[in-house]
Amino acid sequence: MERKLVVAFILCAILTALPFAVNYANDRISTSSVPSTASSEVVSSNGVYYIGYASSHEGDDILYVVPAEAYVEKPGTLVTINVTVKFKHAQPCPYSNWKITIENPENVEVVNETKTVLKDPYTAFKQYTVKVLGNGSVDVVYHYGTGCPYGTEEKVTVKFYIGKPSGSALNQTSAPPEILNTTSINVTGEIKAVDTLARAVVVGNYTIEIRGRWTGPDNVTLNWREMLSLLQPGKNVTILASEENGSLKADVIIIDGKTYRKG
Amino acid sequence: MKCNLRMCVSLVLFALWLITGITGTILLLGPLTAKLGHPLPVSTADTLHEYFGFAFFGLSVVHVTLNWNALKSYFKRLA
Repeated sequence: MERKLVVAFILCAILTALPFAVNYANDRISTSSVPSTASSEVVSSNGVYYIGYASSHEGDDILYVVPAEAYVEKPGTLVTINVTVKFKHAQPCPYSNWKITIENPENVEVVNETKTVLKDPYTAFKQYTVKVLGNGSVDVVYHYGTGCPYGTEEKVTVKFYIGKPSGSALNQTSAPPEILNTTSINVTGEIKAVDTLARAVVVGNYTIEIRGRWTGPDNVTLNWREMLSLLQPGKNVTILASEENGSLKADVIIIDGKTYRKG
Repeated sequence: MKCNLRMCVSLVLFALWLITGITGTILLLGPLTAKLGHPLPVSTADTLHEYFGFAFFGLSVVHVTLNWNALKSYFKRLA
């Protein structure tokens, strides 16, 4: 009987320790990282200074937004905003109509947004590209699913400024971390070449493919051939492209001050 | 008062049973009361339910071992 009791107590200890061990392992093994940028660290990329990250943790899930502030040298510059939500409970959950939105844009225009992707059952990621028109801000909001008892919404405000950050902040400038380049890149420069056979343009060191239908100003629709004809060597262009099957595909093109969006 | 192992295990099991039951009820009612504008401490209940539930499960093994002979006789009566 005593031997059975010892075994029973060992089993009891193992079972009691099980949730502690599983939760600990979950925290350690989690494949996706939350923004590791210090809240005051400055990252410079394409003439944009990304400063720190902002987070909100009112309910059980945590919303992280990179950057908390961004400085651009001139109006019209594109800024990438990375949004990460860390869920307390694995997805899909019973309240799965949660969503990430951008609200109250002030002097900011949203030019592109990626689909929300689940990096793992506990992490959602979405990327926005916004055009900064002047000093302004935008709210990034994570809405919990309808009826979710763990919270209603998480909200952070990202601020934008024309100019450069203060000297002390600039001293912490570092190379762009991976978190700023997860899905799309912003290429600005002179068009070096246009390859109609490959349906691509070369800007700087990047070859970017132009595919599908495009919508320009006043809702004018263009096919890829018409879009490509607007892109002539020597012209300055800003292209927002995303990586797909190992090649870059254009999503937004700004040429002669006009914005063309894919789709 | 004399306190033997069986009594201690039963009393702790009783406390764990009570906590697990109450937190389980909070988890069940949480979504409904949140819709009605009366949110319950679902997050705390969730954590407590998980940890105390496993402690309850673990201690049940000891309880079953302590009462194994009685349990065996019940099974025999069924056969």
